[in-house]
Amino acid sequence: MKLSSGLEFPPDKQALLKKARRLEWITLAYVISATVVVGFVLGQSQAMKTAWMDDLLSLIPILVFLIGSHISQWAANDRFPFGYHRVTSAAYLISAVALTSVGLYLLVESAIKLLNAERPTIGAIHIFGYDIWLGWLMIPALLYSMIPAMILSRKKLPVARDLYEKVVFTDAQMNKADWLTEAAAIVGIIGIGLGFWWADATAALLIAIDIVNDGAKHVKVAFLDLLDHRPQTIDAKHVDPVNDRVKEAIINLDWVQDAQVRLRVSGHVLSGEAFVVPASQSDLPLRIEQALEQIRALDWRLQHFSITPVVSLEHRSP
Amino acid sequence: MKHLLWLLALAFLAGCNFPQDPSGTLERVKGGVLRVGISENPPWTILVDGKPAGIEADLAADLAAELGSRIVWVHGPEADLIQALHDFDLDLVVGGLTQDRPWKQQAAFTRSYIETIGRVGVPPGLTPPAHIEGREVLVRPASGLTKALREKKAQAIPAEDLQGSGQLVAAEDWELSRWRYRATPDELVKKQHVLALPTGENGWLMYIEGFLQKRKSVIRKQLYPGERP
Repeated sequence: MKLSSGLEFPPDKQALLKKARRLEWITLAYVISATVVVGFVLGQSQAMKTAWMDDLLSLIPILVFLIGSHISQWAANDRFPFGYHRVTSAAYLISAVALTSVGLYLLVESAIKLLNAERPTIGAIHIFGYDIWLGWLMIPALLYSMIPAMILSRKKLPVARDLYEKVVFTDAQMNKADWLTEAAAIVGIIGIGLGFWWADATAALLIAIDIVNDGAKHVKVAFLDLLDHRPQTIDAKHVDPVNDRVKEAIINLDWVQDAQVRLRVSGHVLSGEAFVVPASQSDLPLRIEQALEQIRALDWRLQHFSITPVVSLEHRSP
Repeated sequence: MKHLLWLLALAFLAGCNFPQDPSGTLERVKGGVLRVGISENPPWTILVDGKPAGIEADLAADLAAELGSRIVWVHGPEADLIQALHDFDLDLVVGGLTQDRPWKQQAAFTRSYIETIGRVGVPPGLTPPAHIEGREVLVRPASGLTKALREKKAQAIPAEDLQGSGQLVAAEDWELSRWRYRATPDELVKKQHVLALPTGENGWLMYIEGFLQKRKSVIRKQLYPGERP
């Protein structure tokens, strides 16, 4: 049996992976266009600036996935005997920290503008011979940056779930609910039009808080993965049932007297081991190989599992 | 989503008064008092016997006439006038202000209503040289054109009287035009001319910008009387 299987995704998952990549490429093109559009009508609005930064930052999870899902499929070699599965987790953590930092910066900047009672000046833009208030252009720009994102996110969720792809899943879940922040920006602009100068900085503050909140969620997910946390469901709400299923399958083997199982997440795949007290010492290698095949059939993610026979479980660290 | 629609409806109710001024400047000056800060900067603002005149002073006077308001002129150096705008003690400041000034945060500025270009010119009767590289060019020290001259490798010679010198001079294009000097193709510095008003008064800004748009061609004729359309 080879040290590692090499290919991360089985054939049926490959098709899903292609779909996920296609969705993310579409999202990438769309986000870049939305960033350009919103960039044109920024003006001096802090809310617009924050919403624009939010758009720019959303490029990070997309790139992490597109590049990471490519590299994570490289075969293991001498330098990287465990393969490249964790490249996504590492890149994910770095980008989540970057995202949160920018969010914090925007939060402080918006709060300062509010406290200094800075009033945003938004004048007219001259188009086709008419003078239009820039605010009237900001609103459709925001709608353009909001609505397609929500639609794309809904499409990505089931695909990400089936691929155990946390970057796409977490990002899509947060973008699905983004209409709140974009609505805040729109309300902010209308507020300025009605003469409430503080509406802009307040909306910006709310958007920045949302960015920091999202960033913190991303950091937590990435961090726990790198700390070898017990596998959870993709929405991080429940313990993944695979933990119990593996334990049961091992314990129910006729040649196993007692066993202890531990699993952790490596990108899309799970790795781990079972410490097994065998009932008898005969035919152990064959029995172990058969057991491993059985375990791997339980879940496509169980690609790096090993069984270690031990004399007793007593001195095992938990 | 429903609430958003209500807000949009509210915005339309505010109607043609949208956007509104947080400090209500436009409503206040209509038929009221228009406080205009003026700092001397010919030809934009000139004080003739202490009375304001010049291109931008005339603009302010016409603006007041259109609004039905009485002008109160406040004289002072530019920096103090901008500070007064920031404190909402003035409604407008004129003084040949340009877009590249350092006080972007202190006040709001209209979009540029005219662009002037600093150029190099020769007295009437002479032919403008093809290059100014290495040549001596007279320039007023505070004109802002010296650095550009040096970047073009010309020799900048400080002088106050340009018109009577009979030599290559660097000045604003409208000045050269008035002296009937002919300019080289070199563009030294482009200046975008604006007016200043208090920050955040978006309705007031929209009104002034609309006013300036209508007056653009008139202003051009005042500045470049000999220009062909």
